[in-house]
Order: sequence, then C-alpha cells, then structure tokens
Amino acid sequence: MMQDQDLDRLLARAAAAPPPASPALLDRVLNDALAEQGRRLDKARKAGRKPQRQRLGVAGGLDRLAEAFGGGPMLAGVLAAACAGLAIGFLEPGTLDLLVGGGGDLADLFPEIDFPMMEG
Amino acid sequence: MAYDAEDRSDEALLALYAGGDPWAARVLTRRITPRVLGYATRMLAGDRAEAEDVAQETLLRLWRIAPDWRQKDASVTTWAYRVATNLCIDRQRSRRRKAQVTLEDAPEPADLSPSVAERLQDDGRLSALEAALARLPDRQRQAVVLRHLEGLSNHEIALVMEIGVEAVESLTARGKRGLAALLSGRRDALGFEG
Repeated sequence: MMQDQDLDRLLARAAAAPPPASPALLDRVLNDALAEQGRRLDKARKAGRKPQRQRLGVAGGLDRLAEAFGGGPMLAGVLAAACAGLAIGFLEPGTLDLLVGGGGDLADLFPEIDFPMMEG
Repeated sequence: MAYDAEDRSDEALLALYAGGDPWAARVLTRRITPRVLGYATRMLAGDRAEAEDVAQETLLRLWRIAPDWRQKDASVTTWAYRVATNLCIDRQRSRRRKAQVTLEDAPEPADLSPSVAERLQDDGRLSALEAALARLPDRQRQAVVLRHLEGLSNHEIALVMEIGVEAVESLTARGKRGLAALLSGRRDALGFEG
C-alpha cells in the first residue's frame, strides 16, 4: 500500500500545478462576458433607463433609499424638506423673521373684516 | 479602470460587472476560469476539450446570473464549482468514456540525467495520479479533487455537492484510500520508497 505521506505529497504537487487555461479559452470566456454585458446594457437603454450599477456599502444603501423614494431627485427633495422643517422647529421666531425677511409683526390675514368683538 | 480590481472579492467584482464594468469581467475571467477548468479536467478524466466547454458554459451562466446575484447566497467560486459539477455529470451520463485512461498509460520514468530524470519522474507521478483519479467513483473523485487539489474546506465542498460535512469526510477518506490502492501497484516504478 502506498504511504499516506507519499500520497499527500503527490496531491500537493498536483494542486500546485493545475492544468493551465489557454489564452484562446480565456478570450472566449471574456468575449462571452462582454457580449452578455453589452446585450444587457442595450436592453436597458432600449427600456429607457440606465443600467443598475450595484454599489456596495453606504453608497449602495443610499442607492436603495433613493430607489425607495422614487429616484435621486425625490430623495433630495425629501431631505431638503426635512432639513427646512428642522430649522423652522429649532430657530427662534426673531431669527426666522430675519431669514424670511419679515418685520416681526403678526400678519393680518383678513384686513377687510372687522370682527364684532373688536367693535366698541 | 483605475481602481485596483485585483484586490476586490469575486462577489464585489460580479456586482461591478453587472453594473457595466468591463474591467471586472477581465479580472473575474482570469481568476475563475483556470479554477473551473482544472476542476472540470479532473472530473472528466483529463478530457481537455470537454473541460474547456464546461468552463466556458459555467462562466457564461455566471455572466447571465450576475444582475440577480445576491451576496448572501454563496461565494462565486462555490457556485461555479456547483454549476461545473452538474455540467460534468451531464457529460458523464451522456457518454461513458470510450477509451479509459489507465495507470499503464502513465509514462515510465526514463533513465536520463538526474535533473531530467527527476522531472520526468515527477511528470510520471502526476500522470499516474490523474489516471488513478479517473478510476475513482465519481463522488469520491469529486470530493478528493475539491479538497486536496482545489483546496476547498469540507463545509464548502458540502455546499458544492449538496451533502453533509460528514458525508464529505467519508467520501474524501474513501477516495484517498482508493487512490493509495490504485497507485500502490506502481509505487516502485514511480520512485516511492517504503
């Protein structure tokens, strides 16, 4: 019977010398890859949308969030509105007047109406 | 592309490929094709032409599945080995080998200068190993090749073969015993002592 260590050495030797892939095979595989990629990009263009570039990590999370809100511009709009809401909530009325150009007086929404309670 | 694609994982490269990056296709091709080819060559008892077909078909399926790839599913290499396995099994079923490679086909080491003789003996040993592998039962050969030649863990092999880890260990052990028995007859000729 062959010794275990001889067989292990032989297997290790074979593992270190895998059958090489010929340049022709690598070319065929790469051509398949590029053709498939091109086909998919064409299909995406014809469908009127950009191909989805799957990004990883935080960028990928933002992509998915934007998709959930209906696209990047929609997400930007929502974020801008959220920031404005926060600002309005935190700023003092005086600062807000300064920002919106008001004089600090209460607005008279119904200038033509005299309320009965105000009559002498 | 400027980024260092060689450092990226197979899964990250596949995502880049799906997004339209041609450079990711090049790196994945160079990285995965030789592994699948080596595996298929051994699974198909050295039939190089068939093994190349299997490798090309496996990679083609990878390109097609790329947009739907989910990172949590499996590693790209495990997936590729599984697809290659199925393709090899299909080929083995469709036609049984007409001319079996036998241990006797392995060349005898020649009586030449030491360095040349050593190299030929090394080649002879590898040929004998390939011939012995070809004579193992399919599942044992698959387990031995994945474990000892492709370097997969038992857990990864279990995923590829869709069996339990214990079954993998059993197949690998039986495969190695079978190899040892097949090669024993040529131990002296191949230069093994003891």
